[in-house]
Amino acid sequence: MTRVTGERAVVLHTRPYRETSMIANILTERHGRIAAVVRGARGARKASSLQPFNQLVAGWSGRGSLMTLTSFEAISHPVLKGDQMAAAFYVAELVMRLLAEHEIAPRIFTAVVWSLDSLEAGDLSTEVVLRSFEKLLLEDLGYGIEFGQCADSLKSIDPQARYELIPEQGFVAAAEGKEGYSGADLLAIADDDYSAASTRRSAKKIFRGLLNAQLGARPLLSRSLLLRGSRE
Amino acid sequence: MGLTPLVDKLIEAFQILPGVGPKSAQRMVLHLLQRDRDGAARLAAVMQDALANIGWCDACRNLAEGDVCGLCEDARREDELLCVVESPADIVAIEQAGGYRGRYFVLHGRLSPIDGVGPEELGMERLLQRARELGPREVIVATNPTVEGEATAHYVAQLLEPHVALVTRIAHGVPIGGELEYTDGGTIVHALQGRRSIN
Ligand SMILES: [Zn+2]
Repeated sequence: MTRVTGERAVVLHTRPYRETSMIANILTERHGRIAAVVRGARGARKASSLQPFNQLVAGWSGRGSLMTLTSFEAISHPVLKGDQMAAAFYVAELVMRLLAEHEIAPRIFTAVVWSLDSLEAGDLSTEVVLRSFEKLLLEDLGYGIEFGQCADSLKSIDPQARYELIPEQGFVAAAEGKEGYSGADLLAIADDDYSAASTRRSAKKIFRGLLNAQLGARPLLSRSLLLRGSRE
Repeated sequence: MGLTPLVDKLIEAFQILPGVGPKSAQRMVLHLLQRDRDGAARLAAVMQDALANIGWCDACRNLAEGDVCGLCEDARREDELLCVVESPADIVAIEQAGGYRGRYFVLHGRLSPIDGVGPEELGMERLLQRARELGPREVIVATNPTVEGEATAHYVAQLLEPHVALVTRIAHGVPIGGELEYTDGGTIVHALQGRRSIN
């Protein structure tokens, strides 16, 4: 029997359950992602607190996979507009798809909170927020790759040279005739510096490839929310 | 339970209705079989008729008998306004409230990527086509005030803005007759963001 109280959490997704309840998927600070039944949650007041992307202080109990949410209070109600919201759906969908239930992931919790806060504040571009989130998520799930070092020679990446990505290994010097990625962009990604457009383009392509390898055949639907294509 | 296999089957069938559990399903079935067999026959006939003849309106995706629904056929309604809603029940609510005389479009849902509902499932292409046919002065997006409803509204606005002069979103805030003290934080945040000048 699990019983937790006063835990910080972020709402990732909710869906109706039976007549008056819902099932909320929340990412918690110290207990990972959990699914919990919320009884009588279809009234406006409770439903408002449990809107996706809200931060909560929550308690739950239960055994097995499906918990029961015993207490919850919203401590933030982010107001996201347009592309920020599409980006928030993308963050939530990635976590729902790639982080197993009950897998403890405090760094992913922090990254999700940071991403949602940054999207709402709007001082970083949506694109930079998403690239930073993707990088941390991949690292924390164990799918990260080394951006500062060549995978076969073990030498530091040369900003002047070009590299290609070998799945599950890392970057090696690009073969003759292959465009690959510039060393300067890889070093910028290693430093989380997305100020150059070419770095953002490379990062998007690299992370998308790495994420797709983990996501399998079912595509991420939240990508289709960004109507104007490559805006994220 | 266990009167006859067919009775059990009927009791189970009634439980697809919202709010109907095994007990009330059993009560309904026994009532129909014991006390109101004529009513039961009527229910069965109308149900069959409805299933055979009620579909989605070709123009607005509202429920319709035949190709086009009554609201789309009604020549007295204004083509100037087009209201986008999540479900036919929302049309009923708006019509009952009165005051709106424009056209509608029904999405039958809202964008929810994690549930597998994307733009295609909501007939967004059809909506674009409908807006082009009608040429409204304004499209009012009346999806629900939830995160998914907002995402849907944003998508609709992006889709239609190149083709329609004005795309608006219904206001949300403190309910009429409500008190701030008893209003939840999310509603207050939105009410403050959506404030407007008094005069
Ligand atoms: Zn119609």
